[in-house]
Amino acid sequence: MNDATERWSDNQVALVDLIDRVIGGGVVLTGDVVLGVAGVDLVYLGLRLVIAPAHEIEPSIALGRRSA
Amino acid sequence: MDETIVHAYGVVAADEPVNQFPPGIAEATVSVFGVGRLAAVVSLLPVEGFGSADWERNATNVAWLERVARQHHAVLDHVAATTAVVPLRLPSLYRNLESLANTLNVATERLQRDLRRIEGKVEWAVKVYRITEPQSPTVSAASSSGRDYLRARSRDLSARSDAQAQLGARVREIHEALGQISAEYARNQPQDAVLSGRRDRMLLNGAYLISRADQARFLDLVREMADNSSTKGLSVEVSGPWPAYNFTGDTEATTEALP
Repeated sequence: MNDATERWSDNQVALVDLIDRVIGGGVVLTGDVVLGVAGVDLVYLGLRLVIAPAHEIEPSIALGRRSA
Repeated sequence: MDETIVHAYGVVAADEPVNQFPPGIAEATVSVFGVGRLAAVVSLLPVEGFGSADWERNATNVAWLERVARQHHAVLDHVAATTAVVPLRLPSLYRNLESLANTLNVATERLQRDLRRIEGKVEWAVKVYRITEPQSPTVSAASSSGRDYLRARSRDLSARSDAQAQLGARVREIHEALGQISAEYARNQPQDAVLSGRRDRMLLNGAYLISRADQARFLDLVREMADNSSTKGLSVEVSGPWPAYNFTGDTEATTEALP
């Protein structure tokens, strides 16, 4: 693998990328213990509400963003 | 013993040897649970702390969600390094192993289809941001009259819209070029600026399903795109390899590469 791969895999994944994938992507299997649709939407809405005020103060710290 | 719930991270083919997992959510042991031709990667978690009530309660608890999301991803990331794995979307809870087995049995066909789709491939992400605002030097205090100002303003607006169109075209070019060496590729909605904490406007949020063997070629192309784009006010950023979150299940891969 070349150096670009190493460069990125060494960094911690950004929260927004993670949330987009683990809550927005992947396969939904209907189990018998599930959150309602409203519940999942609530997760996104909640994140937005919680992150927004912090973002206005200091985005890079609030989200632990990569500096590279 | 305290009551437990099953958390399933993802699904692999039963004949894939997967072992030596990193710790799971809440440091729980991760193991493989075989169901017919499939196997789920699972942890048993305490209901008190990780049941559906906790998910509802922690919907606005970023620290809790982030911890669970990172641990879920860490397990999938580990498995995906060597094996095709269908990632399960959070929350992924089952009352017990029997209930998970029933669910897998019902979904076997589409899970096997997903496994075939991503076999030998991983996901890479490329984001393109606009890093400079188009300059507007013509509209300034130097404009001597109202009419001059309006003329300058009109010139400026037209230059801006040309610049926008050029950036849009460049972004499409990048996406299509990367798509050419992808098995599948998709253009997702740009990320919410509030969640990303980034002021630069996101012009492309692309996902690319790449054969493991083609990864170096893909990254070379990304680097080339990045070098060619920086002078045009674009920042091209790559991340990965990711488990195939964007190319499994009903998630829409909007475009397919040419054969």
